[in-house]
Amino acid sequence: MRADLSRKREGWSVARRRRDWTPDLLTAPALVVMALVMGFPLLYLGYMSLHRWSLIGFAPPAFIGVGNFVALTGDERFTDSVIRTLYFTGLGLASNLPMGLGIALLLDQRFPTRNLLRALLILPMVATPAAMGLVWVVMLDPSLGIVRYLFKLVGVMAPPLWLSSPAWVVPTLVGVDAWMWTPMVALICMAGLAALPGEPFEAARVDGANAWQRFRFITFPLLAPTLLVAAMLRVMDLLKVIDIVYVMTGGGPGHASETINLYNYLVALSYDRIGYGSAVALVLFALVLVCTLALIRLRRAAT
Amino acid sequence: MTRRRFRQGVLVVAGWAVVGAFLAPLAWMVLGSFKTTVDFLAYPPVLLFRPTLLNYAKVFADNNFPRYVFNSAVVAGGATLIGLLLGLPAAYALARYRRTAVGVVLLTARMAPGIAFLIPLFVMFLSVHMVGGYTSLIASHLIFTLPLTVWMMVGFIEAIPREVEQAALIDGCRIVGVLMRIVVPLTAQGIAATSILAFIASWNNFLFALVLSNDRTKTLPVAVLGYIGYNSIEWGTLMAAATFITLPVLALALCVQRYIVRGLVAGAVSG
Amino acid sequence: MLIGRRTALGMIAAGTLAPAARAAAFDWKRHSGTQLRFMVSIHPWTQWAQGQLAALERDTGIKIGWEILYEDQLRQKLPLTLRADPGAVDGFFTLPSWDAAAFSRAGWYAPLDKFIHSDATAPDWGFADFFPNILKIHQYNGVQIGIPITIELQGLFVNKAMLAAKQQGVPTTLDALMSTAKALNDPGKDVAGIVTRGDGVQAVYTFAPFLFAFGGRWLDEKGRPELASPAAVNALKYYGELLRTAGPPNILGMQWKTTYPLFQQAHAAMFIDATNFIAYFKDPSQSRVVDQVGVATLPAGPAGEHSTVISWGPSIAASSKHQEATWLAIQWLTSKAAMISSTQTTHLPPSRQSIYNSDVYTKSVPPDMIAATKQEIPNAVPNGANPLVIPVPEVRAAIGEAITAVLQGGDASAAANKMQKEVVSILNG
Repeated sequence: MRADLSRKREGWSVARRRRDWTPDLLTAPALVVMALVMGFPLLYLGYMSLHRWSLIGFAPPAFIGVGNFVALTGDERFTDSVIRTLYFTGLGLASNLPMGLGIALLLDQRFPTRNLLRALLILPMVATPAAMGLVWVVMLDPSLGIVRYLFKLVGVMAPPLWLSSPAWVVPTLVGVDAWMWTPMVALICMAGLAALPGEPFEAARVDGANAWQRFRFITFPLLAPTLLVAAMLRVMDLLKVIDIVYVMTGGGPGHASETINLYNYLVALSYDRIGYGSAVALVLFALVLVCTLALIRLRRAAT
Repeated sequence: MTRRRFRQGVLVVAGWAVVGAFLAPLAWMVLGSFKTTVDFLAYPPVLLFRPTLLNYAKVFADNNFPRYVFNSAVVAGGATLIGLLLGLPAAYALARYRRTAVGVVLLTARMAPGIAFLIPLFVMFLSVHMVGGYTSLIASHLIFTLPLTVWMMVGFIEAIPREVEQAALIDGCRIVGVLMRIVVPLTAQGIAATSILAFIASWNNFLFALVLSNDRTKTLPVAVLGYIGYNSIEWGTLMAAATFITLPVLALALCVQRYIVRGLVAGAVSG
Repeated sequence: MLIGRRTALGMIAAGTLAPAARAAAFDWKRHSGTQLRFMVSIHPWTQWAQGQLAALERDTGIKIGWEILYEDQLRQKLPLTLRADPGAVDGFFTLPSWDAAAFSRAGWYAPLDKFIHSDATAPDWGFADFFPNILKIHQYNGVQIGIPITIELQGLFVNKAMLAAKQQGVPTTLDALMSTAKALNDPGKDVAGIVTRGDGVQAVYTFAPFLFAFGGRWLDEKGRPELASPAAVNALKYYGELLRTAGPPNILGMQWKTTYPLFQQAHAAMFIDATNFIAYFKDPSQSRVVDQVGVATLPAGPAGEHSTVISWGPSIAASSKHQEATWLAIQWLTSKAAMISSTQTTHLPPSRQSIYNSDVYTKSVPPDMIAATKQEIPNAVPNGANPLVIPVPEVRAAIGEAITAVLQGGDASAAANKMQKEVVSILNG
């Protein structure tokens, strides 16, 4: 055995000395393409963010250094959108994670048709968001929508105005987003549950622990890393939400549902202030980076 | 009824209630595609109505609709294929040689807001007169298909026992051979799942297509907006189009649902 | 609006009569073989035109790439293409109230006057047939920049049955409108007294007539915003009160795509918006109020009644390398025969007097619509839908904020002052 291994090791090291460039060759094409479609645009974005830049071009781009970033701090509409986006993300996590975990626990049990249910659960995740957004708009219409009808059936005569209410529009959008992505959280948790070792549970059962105790002291702590993975994926998307907002409310009523990304789109492409829009994009990017890295740290600590 | 049977029954009911709730909006959309506009907007909502195929007829009578399907297929197919060609080797390097640089770059791509790339890409493509072409669309979609592909394939590659590759390498196989003869066949299901997820992500993408496509290369999600007319919305037709757009995606997803999660988690865990 | 094959063929037949008959006098084929590209937005007319392209090619030999975009997309793509890719677009669809200031400043319109009064125009094309003050909509600084296609006014739509049920007459003054709306408002039965746009940015359009009715205006003679005038404050106050007390509960943020279905499904007694909507209220496959819908002129305020009148239309790109050919195509699409055909399909008021007064139009819309619009046209404010400035989207957003504020019960004075300040700062760069 040893002789075999050392021969193999020799083989590897001989091979390695000659093949040092292999991994780089493997990654090179991907990196080159990424540099073209991502790296260079990001640099250009940084460049544009230092200018006052109109695409329609009544004036040539003017270098203003950090002027755009300074203006951002005083831009009430921007700071409002940041707070709003963080609120959106917080609500999203608070709803997606427990719901997803709950569904995972339910579908982790063995019962007939369970596998079929698991398969069907992914459908909201893959349906085209733009199209489903419009479907939801109709369903949520406070006068003509079926959601109102369903509330009536259970006796609630005056449900909130959903997308038309400044107070409810963000929770409503979080709800639509949750409809789409909770299945993903559930599926991730199911995979995590399936990977859990059996012994601790056996031991606990022998010790007489009940279901809640088993969950609280074994399942939940062991599942923490998985939950953090789900949280990380969700945070990345929640902070950047734009598709459903654009299609369903356009940021309204007023600016009540205007997320950072939507404001960014409007400023850059509608108001024709590309330089300023670039600055907003960079700030959003930084925000996502910070939040995601924080979650990665947390996950490292949990494992 | 035994205790166990009862429990099973409860679980079945609960399971279907939950999943049913999630599927309800999709069902409503499909139902709506068979309704006339009057019925669709009726309140209280009608469950019993005279179904009509007129909406689907209108969707298909629109000479451009097959074109939009074609566009979506070309862009999604192109972005997926190129993503695979570039991403598979990179994933291998990441999995076996710990070339984390690639991993970091791709994770960053996942984190960046699409608009951060969209704005400069738009300006760049505009100056070389490439806005509206398939190339610019596919190139922009690579921003998310490539990271997704690498992300998922790393997990599937790591699941291959190292000995198999090492044996091949010792036998004098070159890296390309290892990839083609061992990695690809052993991760075939993973590749299928990854491709389908990448295809779906590209098929569903709205923002990039909104800005970078033109009438000739418009993809389906953008085309759906076209049913919002100048003064009216053809709701029935919109629902029919939406159903039609979502259907292929739903079918594909059901085929590989087992592997979707594996891929999703694996990449995140090792990343 | 999607057109079936049979109607398309019918239109082709109708459309080719004039050119073929006059072929001897004017050479429609003088630019045969040219390839043009038009960039347009979704509109019943552009959709009609798309069905005409084959006939156009047959008569003139010109092949057109007719690119129909979602309106938002057009507004992004068109300016950028005109600036960054000169010559890529030959003709485009323009809405002067939105585009004229910016596009003229950028020099993107090819002035049409030199074409209209030259031999590039067929003698029987009939420039004089267009309503003179509608042509003015497509003029900027005295230069003709486009050919108006339709006359888009705003009107007061009423559900005659609901009014009769509560013994209400059609309101002709703003005071009457307020009281009638309140009387007809029936939340218990899910019926709103009146509905119009509640989404800030979109509501700028429907708010405009109220601003004018109180004697206000967007800009003063020097082009400076006049948005904090007493008239503006009164108009804001009125708009807010009207919709808060007699509008649907979810009025805030309501866009046209959800306001018109309410009226159409008999959940609102009155509706204010573009007169174009009549077609959708009269369409039995979508509407429940086909027999009950009536049209009236907008109610008058202290300064009278002033609807906005806007018009989309084709223009020639100044950077086009085929300007004469583009003009030929536009002529063909706006000739008398073509406009008869487009009016038959779209039912929108045509900009040509001969067709407007003919059976083709008058028999396609209810008589009260004809009467209402006839009364409105002399007082209508051309391009009044929003201030005629360059940064239209941003200014509309600022005005929209004020409207949103009063719809939530905010103080009109404060909202008006804020609006004025913001618009001034936007215009100052």
